[in-house]
Amino acid sequence: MITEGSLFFFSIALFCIGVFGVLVRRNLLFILISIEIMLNAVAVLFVAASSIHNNSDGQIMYLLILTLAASEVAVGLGLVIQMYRRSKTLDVDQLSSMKG
Amino acid sequence: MDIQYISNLLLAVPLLPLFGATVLILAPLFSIQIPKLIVSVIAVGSISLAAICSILLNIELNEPSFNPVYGNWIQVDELTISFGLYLDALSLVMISIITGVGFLIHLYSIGFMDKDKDFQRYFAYLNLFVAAMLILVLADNLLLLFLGWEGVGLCSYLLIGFWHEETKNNLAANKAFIMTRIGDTGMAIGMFLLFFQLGTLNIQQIQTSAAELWPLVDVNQKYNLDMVTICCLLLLAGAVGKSGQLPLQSWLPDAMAGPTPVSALIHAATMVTAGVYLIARCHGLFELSPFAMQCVAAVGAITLFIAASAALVQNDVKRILAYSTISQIGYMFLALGAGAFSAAVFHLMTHAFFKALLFLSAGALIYSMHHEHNIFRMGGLAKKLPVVWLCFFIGCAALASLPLMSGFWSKELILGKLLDQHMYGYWLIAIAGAFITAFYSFRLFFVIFYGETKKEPDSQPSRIMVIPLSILGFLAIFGGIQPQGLIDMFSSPDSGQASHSIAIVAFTILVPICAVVFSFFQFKKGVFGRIIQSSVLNQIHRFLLSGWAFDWFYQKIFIDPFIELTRMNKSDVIDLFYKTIIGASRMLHNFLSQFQNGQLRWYSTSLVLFSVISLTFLLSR
Amino acid sequence: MMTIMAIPTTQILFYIAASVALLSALLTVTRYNAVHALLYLVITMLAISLIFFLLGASFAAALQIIVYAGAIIVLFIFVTMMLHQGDVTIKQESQLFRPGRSIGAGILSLILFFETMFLLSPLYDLSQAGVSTAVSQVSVISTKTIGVNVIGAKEIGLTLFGPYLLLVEIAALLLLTALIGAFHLGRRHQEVTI
Repeated sequence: MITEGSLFFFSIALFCIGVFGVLVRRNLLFILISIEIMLNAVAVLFVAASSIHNNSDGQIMYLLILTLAASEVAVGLGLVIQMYRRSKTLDVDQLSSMKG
Repeated sequence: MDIQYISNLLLAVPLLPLFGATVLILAPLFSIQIPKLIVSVIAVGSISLAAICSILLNIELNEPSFNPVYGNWIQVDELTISFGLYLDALSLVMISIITGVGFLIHLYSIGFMDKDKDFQRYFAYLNLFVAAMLILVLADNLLLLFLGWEGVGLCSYLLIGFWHEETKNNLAANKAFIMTRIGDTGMAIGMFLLFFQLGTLNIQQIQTSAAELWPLVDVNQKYNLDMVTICCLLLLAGAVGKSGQLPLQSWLPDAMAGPTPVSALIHAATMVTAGVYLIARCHGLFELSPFAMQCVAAVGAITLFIAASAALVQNDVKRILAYSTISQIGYMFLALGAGAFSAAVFHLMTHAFFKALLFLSAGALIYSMHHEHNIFRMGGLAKKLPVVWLCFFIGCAALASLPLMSGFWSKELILGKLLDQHMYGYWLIAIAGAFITAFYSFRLFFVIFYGETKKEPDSQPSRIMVIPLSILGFLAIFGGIQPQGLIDMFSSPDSGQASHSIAIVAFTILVPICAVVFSFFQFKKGVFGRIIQSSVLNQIHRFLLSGWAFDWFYQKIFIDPFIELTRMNKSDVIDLFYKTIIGASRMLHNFLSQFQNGQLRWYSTSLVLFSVISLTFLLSR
Repeated sequence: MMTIMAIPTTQILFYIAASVALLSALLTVTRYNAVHALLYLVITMLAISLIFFLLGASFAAALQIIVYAGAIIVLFIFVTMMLHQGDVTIKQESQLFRPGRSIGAGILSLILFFETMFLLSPLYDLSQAGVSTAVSQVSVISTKTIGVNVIGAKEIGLTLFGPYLLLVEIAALLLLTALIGAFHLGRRHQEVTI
């Protein structure tokens, strides 16, 4: 049987890997991928909560996260394409024209 | 005699020139071209009608004073300023001088300004000036007087800077305007103070209630700064500014930048005598303060001596006359300070005649000599310009107060009055001044008209210029009759005319004659040799030439420190505080905007860092 | 034999799936080649989907495969195909991502990990931080097992279109916004150089 503790461990570890990815990668595409991993880590927690409490609320939240992820990927990839068209690179460090 | 008739006549006196000025000023605004002839008719006609009105008033007025009120001008709470005119012997003499001399000068100006392109503007200003001056002398309250006072100041500014293409003239106009403004400020404060203390601005009411409020306890109290003294000194400041007395005299010689008839009208005959008029008008107030009277006398005495000695070395004919004007007004102030109000006004009258004559003949001279001002570049003109020669002779003789000339009677009266008041020190200064006056006036005369001819005159004065000159010449000789009204008005019962010893009278008569003889030998015969060259003498000469270096002194005392101060404050000391705030916020901005560096990874890192730090904070609680 | 028998199948499957997910996630974020990274991401998704199955959330597991491993990854791959230029891209990526330089970020992530773990450990009393003790204490070392409560699609559907109807509308709005945004962003504009 799956214990609560191991699930928490798994979720947090997955989330931190996502965070690590966001921090270290300079390619916008990889940053998006890392964000997907972080979203998944949270999704796991919600589904687990749904099972622990034996109701469907957690899975509803999972559905919302799914919708969010789909929207985010659609817009984010649009941005990636635009960025590549304009600056011929996906290095986010090149993008600093909004500097204050 | 109808009261209504006289009051209408009186109102017409200031309104006629005002009407002329209004027409002449407004006509160009509606682009109406008025031919020169019509301009002359309007300008001279309005003032001649005013002169006729004042002659009629001289005939009709047989009461000591007449005070018609035409309505309320300002009415706020307890402050009521009426539009009232006040006519008595003093203002009657003044309007007679202003309209009479003013009329002659207008007439003369037609000839003098004939070739000027701004003929109409000139006469508009001149008419406006006469109107303002008439309001000044006829006003029955101080505020209306102040209106006229500022009006003449304005016209003086406009006329000094009349030839405004030259920067020099504009600077002279600015100087005159600003320096008289200093005095006017004092006068305005004096007015406020009088109103605050007495609750009225009507001149007659001020004098009666001041006599009740501050009765003169001890005639010999000299240095007592009570309220009445302060009021008097503030009014004196206004008078000093307007009349070109010490310490605000230095604008008057520079004011000669204007056309010569303007100098005659404004800076000799009428406007500069406004200060004398003001003190004579408020004589009831001044008599309450012996200290203020002392100040008036001291100002007059010092000014007359300084100005006379400065006139001694000038080269410019108009500057000589300007300094002599300052000096003569100094005599008037001295007389006022000695309590001889009627003598002061009498001298004002005779001075108006002979100084107008002198200025107008100087104008004719300059006109004929192609705008040459330096007397040492003239000479030997006696045969070539006989009319000017005669006028100059009469004018200089009157100025030097040679016996039987008009100036003689008034100056003798002042000198005698000084002796009556036992003011021997002032008397000595006045005698010294008289000697110098006679000396420099005949220096002027001899240098211009005798000696070798250096430059030929190119034209004779036109007839329209000669007519006023001859009338003024006549007045300068025979105008020495003191108006009876003045004597009646100012005479106090206790002061009888004391008789002086023959020796003193003879001395005062002989002093100017000696001076004339002395200058005759110096400048005509050259008996005393040529000019002695010596560095000390040159220093003194330069010192006197600059009018006792007052301009330099003011430059050092007021202007330079002010410029220094403004230079120090160029970056605005007060702004420093705000600039610090700006600097601090800009520094903070620069510091904080480093975080907004546009680097996406920097943002995500700081987000994570913040989460870590806040979690650490939460756990360490 | 006994020990093997003692460990239930679900638990074994969970550990395997979890290990695969974590490993492949780690590989995802460290690959130079975007296609490799995406393939590892698919593996992560599939492993998570298995965990969902094990938790009894079969509907969620199905959605995970269909939407994540299916639709979203396909999107990623399309984009990668558009942008990928073979070795050049990989070389560029190796310039951009240097594992040696990511120690700081790694430490930061580890700190975050341990702190979160500590927060959920019994060593830390939540009531200290002002969290109401009425909430039952959760813990990473909790050995409380999760029963396999199968929550079917029907139940979810009833809840979704019942009390959570507003959420459906919000999701619809979100998707519409994303659609318009993606359409707008994907258009070819006049070339503007940054």
